[in-house]
Amino acid sequence: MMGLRTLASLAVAAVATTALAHTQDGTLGDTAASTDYYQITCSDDGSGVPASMMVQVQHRGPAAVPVSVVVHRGTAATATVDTVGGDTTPSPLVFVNGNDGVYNVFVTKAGGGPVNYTLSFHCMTGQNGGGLHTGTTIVFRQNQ
Amino acid sequence: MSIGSMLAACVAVALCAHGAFAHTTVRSQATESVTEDNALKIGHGCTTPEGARIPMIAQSVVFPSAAPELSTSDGSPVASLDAVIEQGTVAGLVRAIQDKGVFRAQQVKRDALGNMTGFSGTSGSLDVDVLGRVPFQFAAPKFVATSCARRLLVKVAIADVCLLGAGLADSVKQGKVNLWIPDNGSPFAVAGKAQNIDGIGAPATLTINRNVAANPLPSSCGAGIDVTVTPSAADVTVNLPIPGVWP
Repeated sequence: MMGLRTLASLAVAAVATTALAHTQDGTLGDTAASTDYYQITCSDDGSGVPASMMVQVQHRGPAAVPVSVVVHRGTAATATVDTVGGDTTPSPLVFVNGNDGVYNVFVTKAGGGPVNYTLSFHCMTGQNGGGLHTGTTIVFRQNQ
Repeated sequence: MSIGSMLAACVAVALCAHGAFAHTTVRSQATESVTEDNALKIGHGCTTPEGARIPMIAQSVVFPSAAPELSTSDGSPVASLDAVIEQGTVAGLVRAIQDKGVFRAQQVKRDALGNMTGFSGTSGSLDVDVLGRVPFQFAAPKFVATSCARRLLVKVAIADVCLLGAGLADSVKQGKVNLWIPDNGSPFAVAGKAQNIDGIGAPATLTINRNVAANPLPSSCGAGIDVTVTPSAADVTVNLPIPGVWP
């Protein structure tokens, strides 16, 4: 029984590590127009062909302005907003059903003042963020 | 000569021939939109003009990043990688994998935005009688649907270092380094050619094959073309060195 518990603990730890691996800490500068631009490539890492990509953002302060993420691929786009900085609650998870390839991801804020944030992003084999986690690669294109 | 002696001689010749032709290369071809582990295959260390074989102690690996050179198999112009792969760049698609089989210390190379563009290994020693493998992960990009590219050939500049020198001129010498790099005018290529260093003009190639079943070529493209992306001379000049170690 102890062996099973140990195995279960290890399995949970492994999943948690995988999940944590797809976060990106960033900072938006003082200017209201500051925008960080990422490209997230979804690919098959052996878990399956990607069908969707989901994101959320956690506003970590200090400026009291909402932080938003816009995701775009092809003719589809969506957005999610964390209105409160410094708490433990991130923005809602949102997704775009764009299959494999590059998703453009923009992190912006609604006003002046510097903001720290944590972006979470995951390519999934199912539509609407479902299925299994699969190949997820982030590339920084603009840092403001 | 006994049969045993003849066999030994044949084996020796075969080993030497293998060593002479075994470049440092990429183990496996990649497939569009597939992320998987790959490796650099190290065929041999360095050989001095007198024939002494020197083990490798360090390696520097540069994938194309800033302003790479582009060419096509049919000579058609291609202005930027944006027209070939959705990512528009190879930067950030390679990831080093921790492995101390050949080098006890590893470092990564990044561009100004923090995207990984290469890696290096130091404090190593590759036995001259065995082969080396340096693993990495690569997320193969998706081809632009309207592109005629059937394959993207990514040239990877690699320095296999066997003996450290004092500066570039002293470091780029036979027996001290093999340079699997493009012959496009970088100081390393110029010095390497002058010194008859192994590998100038023969960078490793990571071939990315288009998945024509999932992402077919436009009908006007015929059989499709190869697009080659090569690190620029400036890229090699800036990024091939291992800071604090080589050259």
